[in-house]
Amino acid sequence: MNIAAETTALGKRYRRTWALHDCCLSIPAGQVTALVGPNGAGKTTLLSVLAGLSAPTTGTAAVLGVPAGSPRSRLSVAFVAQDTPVYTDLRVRDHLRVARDLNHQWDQRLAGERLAALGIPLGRKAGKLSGGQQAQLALTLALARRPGLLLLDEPLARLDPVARLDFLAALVTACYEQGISVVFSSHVLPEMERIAGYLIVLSGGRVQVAGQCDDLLAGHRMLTGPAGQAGELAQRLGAISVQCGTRQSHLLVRDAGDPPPGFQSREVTLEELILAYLRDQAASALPGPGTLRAEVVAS
Amino acid sequence: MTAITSGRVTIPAWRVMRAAWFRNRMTLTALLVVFAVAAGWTLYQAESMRSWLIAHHIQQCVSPVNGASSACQSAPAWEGFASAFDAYYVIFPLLGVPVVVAMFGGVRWLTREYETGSFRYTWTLGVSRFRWLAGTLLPLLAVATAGAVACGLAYDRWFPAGQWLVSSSPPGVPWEWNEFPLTPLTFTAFVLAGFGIAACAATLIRRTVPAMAATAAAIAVGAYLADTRLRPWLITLHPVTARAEYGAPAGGASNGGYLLRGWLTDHAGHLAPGFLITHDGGMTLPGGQLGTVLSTGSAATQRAWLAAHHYTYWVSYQPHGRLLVFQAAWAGAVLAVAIVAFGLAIWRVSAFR
Repeated sequence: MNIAAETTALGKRYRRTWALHDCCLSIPAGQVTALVGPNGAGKTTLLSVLAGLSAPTTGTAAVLGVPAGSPRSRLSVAFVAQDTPVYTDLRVRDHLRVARDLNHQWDQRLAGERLAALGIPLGRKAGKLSGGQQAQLALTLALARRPGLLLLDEPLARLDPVARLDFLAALVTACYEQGISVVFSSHVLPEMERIAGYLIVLSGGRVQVAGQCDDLLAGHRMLTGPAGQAGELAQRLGAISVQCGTRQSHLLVRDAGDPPPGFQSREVTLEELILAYLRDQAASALPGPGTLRAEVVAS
Repeated sequence: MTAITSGRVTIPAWRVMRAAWFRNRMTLTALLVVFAVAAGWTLYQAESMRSWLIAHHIQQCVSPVNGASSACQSAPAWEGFASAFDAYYVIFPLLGVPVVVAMFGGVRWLTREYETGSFRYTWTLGVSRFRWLAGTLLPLLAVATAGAVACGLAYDRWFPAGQWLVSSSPPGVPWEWNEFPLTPLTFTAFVLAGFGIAACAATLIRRTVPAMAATAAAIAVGAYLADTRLRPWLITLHPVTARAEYGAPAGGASNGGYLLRGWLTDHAGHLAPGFLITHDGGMTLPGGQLGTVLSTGSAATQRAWLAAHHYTYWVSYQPHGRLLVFQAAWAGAVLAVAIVAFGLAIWRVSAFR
């Protein structure tokens, strides 16, 4: 498997607070990696380190085979930061000029065609564009660099549902057409499920879950059955999450074969999986040598 | 791992500067306007003064040689000149230019990167932060330097006439606090130091209004120290000591020189106690007959009495020709502050993690 980004024992401390701690990741190339976690989990910090905006306090980070933040990493890594910052006082046309001058690779045709297709006028100042248009402009500026790795930090946060769909469609299209790797952080879980091939869940500055989405989904089941047996079953199977109503209970467990008597088993959605791990930050599912290793602590 | 296999790492400086032009052209244009207005106003005042002097037949006094003559020194037309013009309409606006351009041209272009978050875009492009900062600074500094030189040249045009309104310096030589930092050399250093302080404040504080306030305060303090400490200290270095004619113009310093002090010695070469002439023209007189003679009568009478009693008048002064050396030294010290400030700003941007 080709690796787009790799961290080894990565730690980042801001004064006395560790935003990231002992973070070991291998992010695969050629697909969209979803980076998920609660507020303060360290998503932005991880992306900042990979983009070269922040230096690790401990450990190492590499992108496309070179140290993150090195001059060579800037050749092929594009970053769209939170709130998709652009120069609000500059016209769109001037954004293209500035970006063309400040980048080694620049696809003017791609940028022009993409903005035209999106109906973003070149003569308008970026500050006069809508939030969705600004996000699309930021994505265009990133894509026109023809990056090998595209890092996106919550670019959907300011977008309405239609703009979100447009943005994601553009992202997936670009990802497949240009063959770029994407690391994408967001709180919008349903959209993640549509586009992500690889999932990373961060919690408290540590990697809680990392793996191919298909493997993770195949390795977990949702059991539904009588609420009275839920406690004992959760203990026995090491359930990741237990939701009990007055009569029924739902248990997210690692794939444990046939369901126990009285319980029905079904596949989990990525959203359910993510929420379950976010609720129980002691649980983790991390890749081991050759196989998916799941360490589940009973809740 | 998918690897980066090729690609030039360094983007040419001219491309960074061209991007800086697109990014900061409004700021650059505004700076040009400020300098043009300041230089234009100074030139307008200079030409108005010259026209007035021509109309009142004392235009020859603007030259250093003629200006020292008693005819020029005592021309009655100067009273009308002093009421027709005010030197501080030129001096104060010029002294304010470095502050204004530093606050609005030097601070804003950097703090807006922090305030809007666009630094996260800018600093992840293909150019390093150092090159980006240097590429952005150079056009700004080029404009600032050109503008400062233009203002300094306009001041040079204004000074020969304008100095009659305020100066205690010898004609044609800007030694004093309100003249010294406004010549092309010193004013350029002053402006560049202001820019350095602005860049430093912007990178350390990262907020526009507080950084502007800090810049204005730092420039004010720096200018005060440079003019009340550095300039007087420099001018006292390695003075010339010589006999002089008592009561001569400029305290007896040579033509255009800067008098540091004057004193008397008796026939045995001993210092006459209680007598001193200071650089600002102040005179301390001793008691007794010497003090009585020097406080009354004409200069010629005083000189005759001093000669008859074997007193010798001495002066310590800086010759006119050293002005440029002192201005270069002053400008060098101020530029050193600018270099340190720019270095701090570059370090701060490069190390911002």
